[in-house]
Amino acid sequence: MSERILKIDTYKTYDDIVGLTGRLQIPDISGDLIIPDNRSINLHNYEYKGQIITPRKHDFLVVKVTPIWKNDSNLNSLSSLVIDGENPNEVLSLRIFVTCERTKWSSEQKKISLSYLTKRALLSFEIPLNDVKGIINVNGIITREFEGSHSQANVSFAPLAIVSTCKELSIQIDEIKEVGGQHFPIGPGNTGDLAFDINGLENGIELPKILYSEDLKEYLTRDDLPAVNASMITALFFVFDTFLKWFVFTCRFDASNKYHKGLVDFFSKYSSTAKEDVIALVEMEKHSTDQVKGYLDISLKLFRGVQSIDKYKKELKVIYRSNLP
Amino acid sequence: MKRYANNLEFFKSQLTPTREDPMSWNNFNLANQEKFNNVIGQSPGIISEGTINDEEEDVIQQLKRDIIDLRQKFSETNQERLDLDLALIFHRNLKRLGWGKFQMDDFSMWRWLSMNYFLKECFWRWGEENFNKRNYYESSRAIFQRLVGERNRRIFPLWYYTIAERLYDPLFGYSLIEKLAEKSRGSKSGGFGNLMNYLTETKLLSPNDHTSKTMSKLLLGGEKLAGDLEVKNSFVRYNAFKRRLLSYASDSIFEKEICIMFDKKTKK
Repeated sequence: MSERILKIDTYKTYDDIVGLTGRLQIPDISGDLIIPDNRSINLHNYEYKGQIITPRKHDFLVVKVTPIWKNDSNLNSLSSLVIDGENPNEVLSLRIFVTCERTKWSSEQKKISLSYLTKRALLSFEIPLNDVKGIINVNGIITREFEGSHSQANVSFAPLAIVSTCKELSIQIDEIKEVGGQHFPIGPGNTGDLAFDINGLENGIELPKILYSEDLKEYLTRDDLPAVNASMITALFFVFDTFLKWFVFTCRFDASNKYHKGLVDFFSKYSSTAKEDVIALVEMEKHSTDQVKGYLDISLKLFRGVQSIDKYKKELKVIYRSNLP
Repeated sequence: MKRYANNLEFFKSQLTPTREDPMSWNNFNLANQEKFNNVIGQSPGIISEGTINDEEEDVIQQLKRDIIDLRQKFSETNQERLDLDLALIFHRNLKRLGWGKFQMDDFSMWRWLSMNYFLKECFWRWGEENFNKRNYYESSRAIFQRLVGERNRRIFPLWYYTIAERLYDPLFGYSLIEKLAEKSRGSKSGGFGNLMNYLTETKLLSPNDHTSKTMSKLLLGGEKLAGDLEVKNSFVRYNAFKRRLLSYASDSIFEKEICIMFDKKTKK
């Protein structure tokens, strides 16, 4: 049997030549919400003019996008991406579309001529909220529209070849539940009089869950409060150490369990201990002298290792500085 | 709808049939929903949350009746040839609850729905053939994989719902899936199995599921049916073109560059 060989030619590309700016319209909310310069907005519990917005209550939201040239770029900047003699304005187009990775939903692609970039074209997308979940992204791509009359080395030739990609805009619609990631699940729950609690420490199979009081939910689900970030950062070591104790002394280790494997990777990385040694420690006789000694050793290394996370000290400094009078 | 608070690892540790322990096969091979529900209900640590309302219960019961009708109508047809009909039944009924893409990644909800209602149907589709050949371990394993969903996207009702969601069109309704279902039941075999696997497991992100529909139509909607390998290679080609925005490409581009059928003569 013969199989056709895939011929994929490489060609020059020029990313981030066009920038995307965006604003949002939500039913019943007067005025537009501007997507900030960092290209990301979290609409979950978003406070706008003293009102807390809950997008999920509505059927749709509207995203309006304006593409613009970046850093003094213009049509001529794209001339090296087309075949000699071709006019970039005739051969290339900008396509804008909105996607949701989780549900695999995609909007229609809106195609505009590159000449519209100087006219601040406004493209509007209605997002059906029943089709999206978590985060949606606004994508921009410059594509070649026609097959070339002849080929040229390192220049795109086939229709729909992507010659430039814009940095995407990100819109978070729902609360991201697993704030601590899948290895450190965290969420609101019944903690009684406590602010925080850890449930399931006696269960040898499933990961424990970090709970916070429902009363704190409205603050802890926001990512723009320095005090929340500070308390999370400082609580990290205690949380990790509690999970380490559970993993070593309670967990019935299963090498095929992806969460258990994840914890091995995590503790190995941040305590600079070989994975085999972490596994050996977990599989030792529970609470034996050697196991307790091994735990104490890794725990201390973890305390230091956690602080080696790139942003740890930097984030703390930013937060402390923001509180200076 | 209800859902389990336990994750997949929990069910794997509690219910996976093992070759060494024939008792662990019974949960699935007995195909007795009531007994199975009792076993699950008594499992230590299992937690389900939420409620199921009358409308949801009605839809599920209607769905089960539709599957019985399908089995009677095509009693002479092999189960695997009815997958697209099953996809249509699941989608058409669950759409009545207003479900869309939003529900598709709520695996705990799908797992609850699957385990609590579809043991018999899952046995018939995925286990019966092996069971009748006395391959009891294999049948229990296959049912476990689909009913509990050893891979989330293969949970019995979700797998079918996803296939139909990728092929359903707001304008043309179920016409494409009905056409494919008819061809799948036909005498000629084609790469329907691979098509359904790739529809559920490949990242086919395109407006109105354009890619899914175009590829399905070109590969298996015409006179000539693509084989399993041709379907597989088409998806491989699609994935290889990372530098082409094919999610909105015309039929002719897909036909010329992606959905390529082997020439029968050169095949030899």
